[in-house]
Amino acid sequence: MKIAVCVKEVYNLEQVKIIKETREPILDVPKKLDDLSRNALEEAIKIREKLGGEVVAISAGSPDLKKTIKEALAMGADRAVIVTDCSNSTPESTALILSKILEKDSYDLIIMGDASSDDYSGQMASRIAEILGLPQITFVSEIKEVSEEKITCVRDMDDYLEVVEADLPCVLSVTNEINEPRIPALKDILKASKKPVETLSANDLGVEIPQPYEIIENLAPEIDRRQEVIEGDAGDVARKLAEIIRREA
Amino acid sequence: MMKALVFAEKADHFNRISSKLKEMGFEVHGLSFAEANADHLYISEPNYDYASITAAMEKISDDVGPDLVVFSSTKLGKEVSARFAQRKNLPCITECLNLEVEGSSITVSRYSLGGKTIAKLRTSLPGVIAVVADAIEPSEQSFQMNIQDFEIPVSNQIRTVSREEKKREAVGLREADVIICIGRGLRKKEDIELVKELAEKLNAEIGCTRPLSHDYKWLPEERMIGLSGEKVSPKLLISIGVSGQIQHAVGIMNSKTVIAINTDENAPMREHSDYYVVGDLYEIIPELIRNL
Amino acid sequence: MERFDAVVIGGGAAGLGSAYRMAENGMNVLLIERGENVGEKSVYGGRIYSWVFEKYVKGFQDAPVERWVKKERLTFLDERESVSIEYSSDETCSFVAILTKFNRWLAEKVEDAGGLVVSGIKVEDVRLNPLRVVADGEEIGCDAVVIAEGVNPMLAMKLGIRSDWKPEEVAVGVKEVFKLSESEVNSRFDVESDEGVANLFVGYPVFTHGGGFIYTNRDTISVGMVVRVDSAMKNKIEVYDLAEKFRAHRDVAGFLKGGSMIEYSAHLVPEAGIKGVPDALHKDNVMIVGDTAGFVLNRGFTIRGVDFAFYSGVLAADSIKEAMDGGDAGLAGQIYERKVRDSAIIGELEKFRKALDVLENTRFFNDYTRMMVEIMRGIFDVKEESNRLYDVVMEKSRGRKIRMALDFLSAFRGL
Ligand SMILES: Cc1cc2nc3c(=O)[nH]c(=O)nc-3n(C[C@H](O)[C@H](O)[C@H](O)COP(=O)(O)OP(=O)(O)OC[C@H]3O[C@@H](n4cnc5c(N)ncnc54)[C@H](O)[C@@H]3O)c2cc1C
Ligand SMILES: Cc1cc2nc3c(=O)[nH]c(=O)nc-3n(C[C@H](O)[C@H](O)[C@H](O)COP(=O)(O)OP(=O)(O)OC[C@H]3O[C@@H](n4cnc5c(N)ncnc54)[C@H](O)[C@@H]3O)c2cc1C
Repeated sequence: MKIAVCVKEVYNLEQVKIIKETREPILDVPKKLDDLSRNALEEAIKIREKLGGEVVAISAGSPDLKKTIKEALAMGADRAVIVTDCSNSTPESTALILSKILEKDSYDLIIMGDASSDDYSGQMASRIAEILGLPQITFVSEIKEVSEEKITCVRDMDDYLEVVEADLPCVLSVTNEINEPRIPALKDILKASKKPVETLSANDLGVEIPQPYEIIENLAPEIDRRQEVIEGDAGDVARKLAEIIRREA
Repeated sequence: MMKALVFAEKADHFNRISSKLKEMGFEVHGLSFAEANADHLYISEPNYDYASITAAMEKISDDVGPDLVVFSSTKLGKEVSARFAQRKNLPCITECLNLEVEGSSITVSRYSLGGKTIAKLRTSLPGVIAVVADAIEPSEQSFQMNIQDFEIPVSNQIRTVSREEKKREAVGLREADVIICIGRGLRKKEDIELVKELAEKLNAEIGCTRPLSHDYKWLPEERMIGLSGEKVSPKLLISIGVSGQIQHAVGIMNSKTVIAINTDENAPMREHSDYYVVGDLYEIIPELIRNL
Repeated sequence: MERFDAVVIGGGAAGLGSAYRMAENGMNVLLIERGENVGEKSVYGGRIYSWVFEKYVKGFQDAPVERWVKKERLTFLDERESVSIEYSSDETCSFVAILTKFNRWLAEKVEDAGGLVVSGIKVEDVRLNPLRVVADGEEIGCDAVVIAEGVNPMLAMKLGIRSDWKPEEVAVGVKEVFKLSESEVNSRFDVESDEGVANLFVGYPVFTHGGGFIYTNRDTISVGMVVRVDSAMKNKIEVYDLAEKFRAHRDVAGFLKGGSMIEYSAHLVPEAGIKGVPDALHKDNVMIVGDTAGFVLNRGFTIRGVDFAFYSGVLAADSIKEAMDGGDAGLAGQIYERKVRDSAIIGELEKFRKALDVLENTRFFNDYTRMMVEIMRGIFDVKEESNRLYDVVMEKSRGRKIRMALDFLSAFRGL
């Protein structure tokens, strides 16, 4: 079984600070592998553990990817293919680039997160499946059965749960709840440093990056809470709270 | 006149979106599974298969020649919007909260950086967007209401084995004046009883963070508050054992007053609170119930 | 068991210097940092002396330098007034940088040179005979270990290489970063975009061992306060309160006005100079470098930690290489001991041994600071009548001239 996992680097959002006066975000923070990419990887590794084969991590992003991709290798991907010159990517451009890489090999399964936790755009599985002319199963919360030929999944949709099946090759997107991604141990990290990483540029792939939209502004909403801290003995605190609740409710 | 083509699997979503488009001056065409407000509406049997809906939208779009194609930003809507956009080689923006048209370009707002910021994006038409229907205030508009039946082409890309509606309990989070929102600070399911007691005293609805509804399944999904759940606007929200990660905090930003109880004096929740109680919920809640 | 030529513990300037040098020398080196990202646990004021990086780091011109220091300012503060001395020059020997970013950049250099950097993992133990490092339940074998764990020498203590700090040997520092715009920084400090200011403060609000600092980054400024731990304990001062008072002083507040605080950190810094350096810097083939070894020099108006940290790392790396090349890797510890003792690090720390005694004298932080301000007020305060400099000085120093003369003489010799 040959599985490609499309992973994404994101800013470590917990470290992104907002400038109070201008409401602008400060993006000068380290990047990391997105949580949902970890879910996708975990699922791919589980399948490999069962059926054998190879898991390839594929990603398009900034030069920082050279570092972030190691997290995917440490988790258990066998190798990686990365494109490091598309910092200002959009779903449109990323889908084109990833598809170019995916076309070079024949994968049985292509797995990714149902969205990324920064943009939450959720277009990648559909776009890639469309470009490659493959079926897609999105929002997968459980893989019930998988063989070399066929996969059966539970999809967790807004109002319903659905069991669907498709023939391979096929594109999957998985939800955050599908599994608990493993945390790599030191020995996995050391092993990862020896795994092959192929680094490409969008140019190598012959992709011109489309810029379909313009970002007019990107500002944090005004958060103007009093932030009054109440501490002390539980009894006192509760009395104060009761007073506030009576006033505000 | 510019034309818009709409798909929404729920009539309520369809109507919110079409009224907004009409207000903006579009002639509204659409595909829906039930009668809904549009100038030209195709109605088909319900179908939840992305491949079939994409093919149907492609067909209608080829007939109508829309400037803007709009989906409801549900899971199904997002999935189809992206596949449709790729087929038509168009830009697509999902999870739009707001939209404005100016000449031949459209400007939308959506959360970015996991909800930390709101980005305003402009793209030229033709284009595709998926709109969070609940973020739109419906308005009274008059439509031509030309309705015709439509048969969605059948696709076999994937096969549905079974489908089960999720059990929904009617939850009044959006209308509630007082909400108690609980998070992973609660140690076990049984402890929700303690919170229920408090909720009864305050006549409050109970909401929760994603781990409680989706991972532990202690509460039904419709009680989840946040980016991927409900956005609430009560007079008072009491947040208990919630760290206040941005994806959650986005859902409580319109609350008038926020009280939080947390053992960690520096949890991100502090920034989102008017009153931030540093303490153990297991000590404070029983005392609080006694005091109310 | 995985094996490396050497394992470096800690990804601050010291550990990175060591790993970089070894990787450059073609050695198989592993650096382990416990923070999620390299650099995020390192805290400092703001200025780095560049000599060591110019000498050893290839491509140093691409380092994330915020501004080169072209203005040095020393300010004596009392509650409401201040006296500043400024030295300004086009020549420069130091730059302002954001240490987390600078260290992150160094880590990239290490990796580019072929070293392996692993973060998010804490080293639990170092075992001798045979030499191993224990982390995450794994043992990793190696010929040499460089402990660069910073100011909390847990592993070094466990191995008995050094003892813990006494309160009078360390200071606690807090630092805040305020966001302005690049042009605001330029105009407030009267500098061009590539020029930086290092401003150190004595007196208010500490009036004892310690002081404040301001450094100009490109579009932010770093502001903070350092107080020796024994003084803080004795006077029951909360460093946080001091930092807040300092920030609110009219001569500091002006620089920060309208800026929003985007970062806050607190950290210990060795303050004992040569007295904080243990007698032996190694045990077998385990060496200590940087803050762990106490290689920080504080002369009151300059503080050198990062350059010494990096340099000591380089010396450890060179010692390991020399020992391996000589056919007995086991000698690295001894070679390191000799190299450091012969180096500028110990040389400088020795040279300024007296500085410690001078700075021990709290009169510099209190009486003389106040006096300086009073004298200036005396001269510049013109109402109906004005004062002669001579009269002002005489009056302000009444009854303490001899002690003062001695104090200043020792300061002159020591600093
Ligand atoms: C794409 C995406 C979308 C998401 N959408 C949502 C969403 O819509 N809604 C949502 O909620 N989450 C969402 N999340 C998840 C979100 O990021 C957080 O993981 C989640 O909100 C954390 O839940 P929590 O605060 O309950 O748990 P934790 O983060 O574990 O916090 C528990 C808190 O309880 C406190 N605590 C512990 N014990 C006590 C005690 N005895 N008394 C008082 N306090 C105590 C702790 O100090 C801590 O702050 C999303 C994540 C992603 C990636
Ligand atoms: C407030 C303040 C202001 C200062 N101002 C200046 C200045 O302006 N200029 C200057 O040159 N110096 C200054 N210094 C001193 C300077 O910061 C230090 O001397 C220098 O950063 C020390 O580098 P280091 O590598 O020894 O330690 P650190 O940078 O502290 O690095 C030690 C690293 O080891 C890691 N570590 C610890 N234990 C383990 C373990 N068991 N396993 C894995 N990793 C571990 C830590 O996480 C840390 O990243 C200042 C210090 C302070 C506190």
